Amino acid sequence: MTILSFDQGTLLLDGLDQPVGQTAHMTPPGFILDERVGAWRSEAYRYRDAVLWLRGRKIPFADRARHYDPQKLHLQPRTEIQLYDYQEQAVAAWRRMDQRGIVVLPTGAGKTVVALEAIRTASRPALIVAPTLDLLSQWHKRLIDAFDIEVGLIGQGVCDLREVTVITYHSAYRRMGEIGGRFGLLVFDEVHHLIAPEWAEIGRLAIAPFRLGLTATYDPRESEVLNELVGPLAYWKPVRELSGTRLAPYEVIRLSVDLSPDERREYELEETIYQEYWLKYWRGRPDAQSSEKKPEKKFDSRLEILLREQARDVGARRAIEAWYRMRRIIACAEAKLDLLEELFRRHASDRTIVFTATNETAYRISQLFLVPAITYRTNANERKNILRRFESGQYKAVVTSKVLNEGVDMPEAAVAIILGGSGSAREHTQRLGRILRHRANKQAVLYEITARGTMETAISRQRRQTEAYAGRARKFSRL
Amino acid sequence: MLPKELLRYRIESGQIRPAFLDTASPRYIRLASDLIAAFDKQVGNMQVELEEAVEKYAAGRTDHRIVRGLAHVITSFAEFDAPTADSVKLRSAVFERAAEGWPVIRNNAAPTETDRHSVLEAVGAEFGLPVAQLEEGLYADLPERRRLIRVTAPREPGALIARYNMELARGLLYWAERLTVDIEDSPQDVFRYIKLCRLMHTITRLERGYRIELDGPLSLLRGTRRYGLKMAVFLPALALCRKWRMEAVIVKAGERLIFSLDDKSGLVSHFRRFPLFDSKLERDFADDFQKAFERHPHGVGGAGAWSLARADAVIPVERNQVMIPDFTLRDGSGREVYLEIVGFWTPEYLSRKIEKVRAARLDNLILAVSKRLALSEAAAKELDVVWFAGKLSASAVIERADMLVKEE
Repeated sequence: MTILSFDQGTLLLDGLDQPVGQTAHMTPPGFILDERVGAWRSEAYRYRDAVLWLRGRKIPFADRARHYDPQKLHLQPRTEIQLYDYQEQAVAAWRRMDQRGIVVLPTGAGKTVVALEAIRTASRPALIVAPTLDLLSQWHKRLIDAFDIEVGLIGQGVCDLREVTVITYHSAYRRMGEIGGRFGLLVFDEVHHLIAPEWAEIGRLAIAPFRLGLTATYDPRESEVLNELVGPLAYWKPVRELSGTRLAPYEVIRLSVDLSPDERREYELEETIYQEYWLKYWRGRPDAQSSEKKPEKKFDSRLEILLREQARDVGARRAIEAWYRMRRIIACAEAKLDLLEELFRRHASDRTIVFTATNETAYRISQLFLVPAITYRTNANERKNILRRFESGQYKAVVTSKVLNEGVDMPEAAVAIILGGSGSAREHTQRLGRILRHRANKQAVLYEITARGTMETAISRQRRQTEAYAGRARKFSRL
Repeated sequence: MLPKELLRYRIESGQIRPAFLDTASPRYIRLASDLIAAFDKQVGNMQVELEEAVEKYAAGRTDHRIVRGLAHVITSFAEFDAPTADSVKLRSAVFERAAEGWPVIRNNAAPTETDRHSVLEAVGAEFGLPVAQLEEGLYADLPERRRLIRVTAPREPGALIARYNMELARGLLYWAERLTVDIEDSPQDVFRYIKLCRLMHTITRLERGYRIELDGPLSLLRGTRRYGLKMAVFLPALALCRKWRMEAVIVKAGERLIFSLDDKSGLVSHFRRFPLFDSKLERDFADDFQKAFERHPHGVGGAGAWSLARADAVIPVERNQVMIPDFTLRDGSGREVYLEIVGFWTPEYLSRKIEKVRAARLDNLILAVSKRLALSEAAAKELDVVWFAGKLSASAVIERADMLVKEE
């Protein structure tokens, strides 16, 4: 008797009669003989092809890999899911690809709704994979609201497994080997994460024949793995096409402050140590490209160099310490705090989110202004409460470090204030997405507060080079 | 296991070598004692203060990663307190109050504006706390604010250094794609830990002992580091053996490097051994055999000079499991007969064991079964059973071993 079973993220095919002397094409694609157990083994994602192969050759088999009943789940939305035309098109395109494909929509264009409709029509137990804990809880809420069912949640120590479950990439990597047989549909939020080989294993260790990948960034040159594990590109709507029609126009206001004399003194002390290190470093590498030497060039990669060099060079260690101290000085510069207070006054009735570069700064702002902070350390309950009260309007402002960076559905935030952060383009697009809400007649505004004459000015310049800023910024030098 | 940034190693000609510390070196003994003492001094302080103290100690030193690594090991044995204030509740109350009069002004609030201090005073009054204590309590639950109660182990500098070396080796194994180990003794301990760590194995018999390749289901299909953590957890089990070696393939930054260790590397295991004798029955049998051997120094039994070894044979059975019989009898020509003593077991355990034995399909395995167990004739069919009443006699087993060998 031929048995197909699920074993820790792989498929085992037992009892398949192999005529003596036959070669590899006598097993479904992707299967290899595992002598450790005396059966054929493949990665779990080969499930659909394996079933089609066995059926095509009329080989009877017991399917012990699929741990769910494909007929059982019927999702009734509480109210009919309303889709814009482009959302309808996206779902239709996905269904035409046999429900295996990638949908690219800019942040804020309502990819959640696309997913809800996909989940409804696929009518299979579904696992939604989200990159952060906040997105996790947002998906959780949206699914409960949409379908009026109990929705499972796996992440940060919580493990509640149900027919429709949301899970973090982290937990999915660790646990797909156990749960990969239980879902017929995988939905990947921010599917571009699967390009990394280790996250890709999440896609490999699941049997789900139906897969939907959602993202705002898609590069066909990097997407071979995505196409293999999720499906081909089904639908693409770039930012510019949408911003005129669906997304509220927003304003960008750049504000600069000066460090206090004491802060400036301390900053310059550390900056000297930092720059002396780099002078010595480049002197020792006369053949390096001149473009690499520019101070603004890629702060992230400079930090990488330092982290690598500190292993053998005490000077590099001191340079890193100097860099962290510089950052700390400008993060909570007095003038910035004063400006922040002024902005809070000005926007007393507008929902405001403050973004900081580090947890430390987030907690400081929280303590100084008595405003709730959300960091990756905040536990699930507290986080849920804070977001709920922010949405209801009880809390007017929230401060957060990097954790809310991935397109979270922050309800009607009208004002975003960036107090610091690195310059990566992707992070920036997603931050803006947070205030690009579809909303009638409401102009959102993004403030960027930098300290004059510091490394922040350089980072900010880098940030402005991304697409979304083009032609929209208004510069203010003083409030 | 040491985290990535604290690992110390050298890479040359495709080999990766951990930079172990010499446990006898006076310099590192002194460093280890200093650190243990420094931690003891920090009892009562917050975790963030403890980290700052370690940072200050390590600052500017070229061996700062050794200092941090040793501190990391000590910290894994540190016990911290639980927060006393209900910080979540305090925060919630403060934020609610602040939100009512939003925005909160830190200094020089106008009469119509909400002053920070008065918010804290008001909430403080609700909870019976002065403002300063309320402020400290707001984020008292952050991990960095936990206070150190005590450090349990290792207290002795040499032991700390030995543990550091083990955690350094483990840290490298985290990135392993493959692990092959050779063992000459202690298979029972090794295989129990393999099972506990949920690793798959492929066994090859060596002239002395076994070669075991350890990995997981996915390893067959694709290089993956997914099981590296399990391999790292497993490593101290290997160091329980007297003679052992291992070779791992570590994948770092796209490069494949060989990581080798053996019983001369100086690693010390902190794992517990499983008890040598499962029961008095086995101990008595071994004693009886020893006495018989002493009476006949040129060998016992007629067919050859049988010697007795304890649990050193590994027999693969179905679905990636192994059976390690209680004893192996070996004669001068290398012939082996296995002995499994079935003592006072539950009927379920007994039938599972019988199944395993049957699946192994061995023709040189003796089952010694107590007459007190209700093992039926039917169940014992096709198996080589020696029955015994209270004690299992060596001569009865030897007699049966001789017979088995004659039948070949």
